[in-house]
Order: sequence, then C-alpha cells, then structure tokens
Amino acid sequence: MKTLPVALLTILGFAVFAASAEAASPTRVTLTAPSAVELGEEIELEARLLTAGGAPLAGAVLEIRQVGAVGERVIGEATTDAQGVAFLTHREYTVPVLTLRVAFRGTPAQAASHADVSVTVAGIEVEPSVVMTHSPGPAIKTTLFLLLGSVWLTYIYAASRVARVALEDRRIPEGGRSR
Amino acid sequence: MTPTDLDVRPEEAPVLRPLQHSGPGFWLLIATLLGVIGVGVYAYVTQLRIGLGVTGLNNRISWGIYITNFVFFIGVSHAGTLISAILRVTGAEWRRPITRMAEAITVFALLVGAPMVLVDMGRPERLFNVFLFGRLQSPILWDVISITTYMMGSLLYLYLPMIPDLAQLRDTPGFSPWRHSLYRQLAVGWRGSPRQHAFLEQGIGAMAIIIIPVAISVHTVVSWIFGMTLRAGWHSTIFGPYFVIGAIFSGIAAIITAMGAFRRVYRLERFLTPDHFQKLGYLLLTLNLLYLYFTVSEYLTISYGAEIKDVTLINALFYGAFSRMFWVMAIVGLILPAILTVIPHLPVVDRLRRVPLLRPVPATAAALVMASLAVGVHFGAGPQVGAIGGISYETILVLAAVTAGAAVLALLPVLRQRPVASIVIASLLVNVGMWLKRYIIVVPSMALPLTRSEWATYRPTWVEWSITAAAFATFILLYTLFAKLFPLISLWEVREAPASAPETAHTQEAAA
Amino acid sequence: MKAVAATGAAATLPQAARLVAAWGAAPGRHGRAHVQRRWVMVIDLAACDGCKKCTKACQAEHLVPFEQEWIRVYEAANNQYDKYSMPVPCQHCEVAPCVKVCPVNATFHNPDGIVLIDHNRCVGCRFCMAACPYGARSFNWTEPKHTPAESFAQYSPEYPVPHRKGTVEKCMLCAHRVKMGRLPACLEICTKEGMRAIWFGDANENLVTNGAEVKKLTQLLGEGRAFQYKEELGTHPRVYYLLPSRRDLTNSSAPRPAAPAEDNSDPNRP
Repeated sequence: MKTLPVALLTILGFAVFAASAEAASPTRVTLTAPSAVELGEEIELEARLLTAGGAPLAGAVLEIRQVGAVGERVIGEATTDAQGVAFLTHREYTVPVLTLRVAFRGTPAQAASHADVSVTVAGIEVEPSVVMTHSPGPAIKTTLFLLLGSVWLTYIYAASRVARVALEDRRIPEGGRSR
Repeated sequence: MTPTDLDVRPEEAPVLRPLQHSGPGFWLLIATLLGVIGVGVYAYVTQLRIGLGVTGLNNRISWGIYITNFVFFIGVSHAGTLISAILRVTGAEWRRPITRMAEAITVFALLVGAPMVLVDMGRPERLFNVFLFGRLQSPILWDVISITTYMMGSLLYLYLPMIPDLAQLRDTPGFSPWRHSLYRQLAVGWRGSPRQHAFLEQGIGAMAIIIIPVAISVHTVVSWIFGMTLRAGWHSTIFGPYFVIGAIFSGIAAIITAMGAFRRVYRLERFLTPDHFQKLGYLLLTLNLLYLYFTVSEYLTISYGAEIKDVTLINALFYGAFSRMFWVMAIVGLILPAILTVIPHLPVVDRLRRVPLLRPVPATAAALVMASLAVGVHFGAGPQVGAIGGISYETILVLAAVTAGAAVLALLPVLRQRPVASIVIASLLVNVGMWLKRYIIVVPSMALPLTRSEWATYRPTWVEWSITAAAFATFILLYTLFAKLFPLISLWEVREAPASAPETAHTQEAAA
Repeated sequence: MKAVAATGAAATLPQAARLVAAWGAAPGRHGRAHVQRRWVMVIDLAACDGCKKCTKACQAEHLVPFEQEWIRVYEAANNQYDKYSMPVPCQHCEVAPCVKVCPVNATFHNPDGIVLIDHNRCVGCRFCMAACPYGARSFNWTEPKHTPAESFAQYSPEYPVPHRKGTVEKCMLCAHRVKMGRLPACLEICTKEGMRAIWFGDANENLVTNGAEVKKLTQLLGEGRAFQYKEELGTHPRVYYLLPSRRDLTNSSAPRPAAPAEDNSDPNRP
C-alpha cells in the first residue's frame, strides 16, 4: 500500500512540472542552409533563435544534429550572438540525403524548438545493398523452354504415332488380319 | 518387317496364365498389401489431423525418411530407362523379355515416389501454389517440372510397346467383358500391318531416345535439392552424377529383384534365363564399382581438405553417431553385392568346399545364433552389460563377426552353383543398402551442428514407418495388379528377335 | 479440386499483389529523393551477458509458439578463459539462401531488406530450413496454441500472428515495430536491462541506436572490430557482431557485463 501515496505524489509532481513548462515562452529557430553541396564541402548553416514575439535570444546554445530513422546524433553546437544568430558547419562524407536539425534545448524560461533542413550531398556513393537475382535470366529461360519444348514435342509425336496406328485400322476392313 | 502372328504360341502360355488364373496366394498377397496400405492411410490421416509433429522431425532435422523414400523411389525409377531405352537404342537383343518389367517399375516407382513429397509437406492443400506461384529459381520447381515430364514420358514409353500385346489379348477369348473392352480400347485397332508396325517403331524409337536425357535430368535435379544448399555433405559438385549413378544402380537392382520374383512365381524360366541375370549382373557390378568410385571420391576429397564441418560429418559417419548405419550400408549395399555378383565366375571359390569346418548349414546356423545373441544383448541389456554367463559382450560381438564371415565363406560355393539366386540376393542387398545410403545422405547433414550447438537427433515414429511400409506395399500392389492385367513379357518383341536370340531363350534352365 | 484452387487463389491474390509490388521496388538507388532504408543490426558481444532476455522478449512480443527461439543465444568461447555469449537472430541476408530456394515465393525481401514470410503462401516444404546456414528458421509442427491475445491480431507477414500450423517461422526484425518507428523488442529489453548490446539502424543513414544513444554505424563497427557471422558463405547478412574480446578496451558507454559466476581463483585468468 506504499504505492498509493507515491503515485499521488508523482501525479502532483507532473502537474507542477507541466504548469511550469507552460510558463516557458515559446521560441523558434529559423534556418538558412544550402540545399545541395559537394562531398566534403562545408555545409554552412545560419540559425537564428527568436522568441515568439520575434526578439532574438542571445547566448543560447544551439545544437546541430543529424536526424535519422532511429534517432538523432549531436554533431556540433554553437552559441547565438547578440542578434540570436549562430553559424554552424558540418562536412558530410557518408550520407547522401542528410537531414540536419538545429535545435535549441530550451531552458526553464524558454521552450525548446528546432528546425530541420534536408541537404543533398552530391558525389557520395552509398554502398548499395546486394540485390540477389530472383529468377534465371532470359537466356537461361529461353534455353530451358526450348529443351522442355523439344521433349514434349517428342511426346506429342509419339502420341501421334499411336493415333496413326489407330487410323490405319480404319483403312483395313473390319475383322481382316494381315498376315 | 514381318507381320506378327497374333495367335498365342504354346511356349508363351506361362506369360498369359497369370492373366487368366489367380490362385489363393495372389489374394493373400493382395489382402496383406491392402492391410499395410490401410495402416499407412490411417497414419497419414493422423498426420493431416495433428500436423507433422507426429513424425520424429524437429527444427534441426526437418527432413527425414519421407525425403529418403522420395529419393529412393525416384532412384529406382531409373530402371526402365536404362534397360529399355539404352539397350534398345544400342540394339542389345537380350533386353527383349525384360523391357516391360523395367518400364513398369519406372512408372510405379514414380507414382509412389512423387507423392512422398506431398506427404512431407506442411500444407499439402496448398500444392497448387507451386504451380501458380512457382519460382523457376527453386530446385523444387526443377523437380516438379522434371518429374512430371518423366512421368508422362515413362507412361508413353510403357504404353507404346504394349499395344501389340494388348491387341493379342483383345483377340484372346476367355476374358471378362470389361477386360476385353479395356484391351480393345487400349489396343487402338492394332492389326499388325506393316504400316502400323512402322508407325509404332517410329514412336518407340523417338521415346527411347528422348527418355534418356529426361531420366538423367530427373535424378540430377533431385540431387540439386541437396547440392544447392550450403550444408556440409550436401554442397558437393559431383552430386548430380553421383545420384544418377546411384539411381541406375538402384534401378538395375529393382529389375533383378522383380525378375527373380516373377520368374519363380509365374514360372517364366523360358523367358528370363540365367543369361539375362548374368548380363544384368554384369551391369549391376559395373554400376556398383562406379558408385563405389564416386563415394570414395566424395569422402576422400572432403576428408583430405579437412574443413571443420566436413571433418565433423566424416567422423560422425565413420566412427560416430551414424557409423553403425553407414558401415551396414557400405557392407550390405556396396561390398557384399559386388562379391555376390562376381562369385559365380570364380572357380577358385570351389576350393572353399574342401575346408572341413565350412559346411554351409552348420556355419549359417552358428552365425544366426551368434548374431541374434549379439542383437539381443544390444537391444536388451545394452552394451553396458559386462558379461552373459561369463562371456563378455565384446567376445560375443567378435564371435558373431567371425561366424558371420565363416558363414559367408561357406555359402559362397553354394551360391556359385546358383548364379541366378546369387544375383537376386545381391540385388535385394543393394535395394536395402541404397535405402540406407539415401538416409545417410539426408539426415546426418541436417544433424550436424550449424551454429555452435550440439548434434540433433532424429528417431522416426510409427507414422513415418507406416507410411514408408505403405509406400512399398503400394508399389508391390500396383506391380502385382499390372502383372494380372498385362503380360509381363513383351511377347511380340521376343518373337521378333533375330534368329540367334531364340537360342538364348532356350538355354538350359538352372534351378533357381 | 477447382474449389481448392479457387480459394487458394483468392486467399493469395492480395499477397501476390503485395509481393509483386515488393519485387518491383528497387533497393538502394542513390540520388533519389525518397529514402531507401537499409536496416542493419549490430550486436555487441562484449556487452552481451547471455541472460537470454532478448529471446524471451521476442517470444512475448510475437506470441511465439512452441517455445521457438527466434533469436537464439549461444555460448561460445575463444579459449577456456574467454567465453562469451552470442545472440543469433535471423541474419536477413541480402543474398538469402532461403529466398533462393523457396518454390512458391513465400519468403521474400521487403524493400527495406527484411526477409519476411507470407504464411498464406507457405506450403511447408521446409526447403528454406534446409538451406539456411544459420539455423534461423523454425517450423510449426502442430497447431499452435491460440491464446486470446492472438485473436486480436490482424495477420501480416511483418507480424505473423495468429500462427499457422505447417508453416515456417523466424525473426522478422520486428518489421511491424520498425514500420511504426519503434525499435525491435530484443533491443528494447536489452537496453532496459542495462546491457545495451543490440543496436539497430539504417545503414544508408549511417546511424544506429541501442535505445540509449545514437551512434554513427561506421564508427561503431570500426571501434568494435565488427565481423559478420559465416560471412565467407557469401550470404551478405545484415547483422554485424562486435568482438567480444574488447571488453577491457571498449570506450562505449555500455556498462561492463556482470562478472561471470565462474571461479576467479585461477591466477592465469586475464
């Protein structure tokens, strides 16, 4: 029965937290970035952190992260200057279509926010997955078809011989046996 | 081409007698076979109801004696092709009395072997998926195509040479109306005219030629079911030829067995002479040595290279879990038949008669006594038993081996006097040995540890044994019924033999 | 006979359409705007402690019948002092022997490279089981026990519940969770229990996660001296293993595995 007071306290704690979070003012990040670069070329991102009202937020730490299907990986960070602008750079060598996220982690007073950009990096050869063949090629299929076809045609020929034997019977008068 | 006389000749009466009279032995045999098949059907129904879990198969050894039976019967089905087609194409006259029996073996072995795969399937009702969605890349599909083609071909190749004999039966009085109607319809109006003969020979000639590559392809693709996987003992480049040679070997043995049985039961000594057995015996010996050659080549190569997975397999086969079956297979299936087929030609064997202790009857009796003692001790008390009445288990084993060897030596001169019996016994041993060999091919490679775990075990259950017995019973039943409906010897071909051939038909008959 | 064929066709036509679409999708073409996924799993043998909770979590997640183990944990050793545990799921080979030999196309690659099974198509021939060199597949030898939980599931090859008698089962790399952006069940339990030995991610994005941290795949593979199981067979598996002997050298944040219960009194033991 110890769990009941613990549960109540936890709920209370969350309520307080939620309330305080709502107190943090919203921010937004705007991002300027190239849409395409060359392999290894420096991707220059200009990020501006503003409050909802449009006032710049100085001295805030902005992180640049690579976003993937399974999560995000922090690859750099910078601090905003008096105008709320931070310059972040990254050189990419392995991922051809890179999703970058510049994120502000947020403080108790300022809400977290982020902006994403997709950058295509030209010249990266992704190791392709090995594609296995799923059926024999047309040459093999044709050969097989011809071989099988010749076998079954021979069967049809043999069956036709039986038919000829039967037909031959019609020519000889019924009941007559040739000796 | 001289027109054949459609009247029955007196010497052919034994061939037609089974069609006209059925003794009590026949009905007893039919009843027994139907009983065995009934048990098998019940076993299969149980399997359908409960699932393949009623077999001894498991996730490690997922193929067992159903697949063994499949490979075995498809192997036996190569009988017809060799004797009929190759000997026909090469113009060997001595094949004439044998062709129909061989071709019948082919058809019935296929009819029994192919459904073994269905028995092995987890969802047999989805069989049509194989035809609707078949992937040409899968060896199973090659199997389906190949076996279907072969079945069609062997049916045609059995039927075409039967036509003249069917016509003769049509014209023979004394058959019931439905049988007469059957013969009449199947004989498609054969009158024996020269033109009909010409057509028939064209048809048979074409089939004889085309069925040879088809048959070779059949057992090759069956071997590739195993050969195309990555398992030790299976992924071998010689599996194609290996299986084909094994199939022809099995097939010849099956023919000899069938010939031996029907010759005795239906008194066909005039047609199936010791000369035929001798020639087939030569073929059996040749294939035996060829098969030994391939086997040695296979095992020597992998044990010399000594890759771990191969060495593990070799150790299990030669010394370990599968050694008993392996050595029984090797001796029974490969060594003894070779000895038995050669013996009739070795006069030196007669010298064994002079050895005082080697009297056949006492030697055999002693061997049987010691063998049953050894078997009884092994299955009864187990090898852990130290001694029985003061004699240790090892001593019993050694005595059993010695008396068995003595019995074999004592029997050799006896067999030399009975060449037909000698070869028929050899063929029976080959059939047993080749079934064991197929088991040795299928199961140990699956029992091998794949991913760092122990050897798996497999023990077939009553369901599997019943269905296996039913498969053999079905084969014998179909064959017996065939012998009742159609003459086992191709009468018109025997008649057509050139002048020298009847000489071989009249060579002195040795008591078999 | 015709009824059987008709029902068979009707049941399998939707799957056939899906398979046709699956085959039609071309994997791995770079330069296209849409992202082609290439799922890989990395198993850190230095962090695995052989607890087999991944096996049990997988069994619970998929209501696996007959105590089949879709991810099996083997005890292996380099020598008598260097023992380790090796979890082996289906390797989802790019050149899969099982896919090669299936006669009816019941096992196939989805566009992301995961090898799936269509249990409405499978005829139970078990050729795939014979062909798999990793022993990854299991068979439903009898009717699986159907739990009430099963009856709420809608069958799909990604989540093959309810299970069918007479068909083949194996690890599906939790394709049903991955589709929704979650991680495989074995990974989640391994991280939850603290070993964090299993990583999963998209090789084309070069990012993998073990649930606790996200790392560059190439970096993880390089640090861990990665190898692939039975790679000499040419199956091109999608599962990588990190060397177990780097337990003392690893600088990953994975906690050291619990000290094994063996006797530590041998002075020669490293």
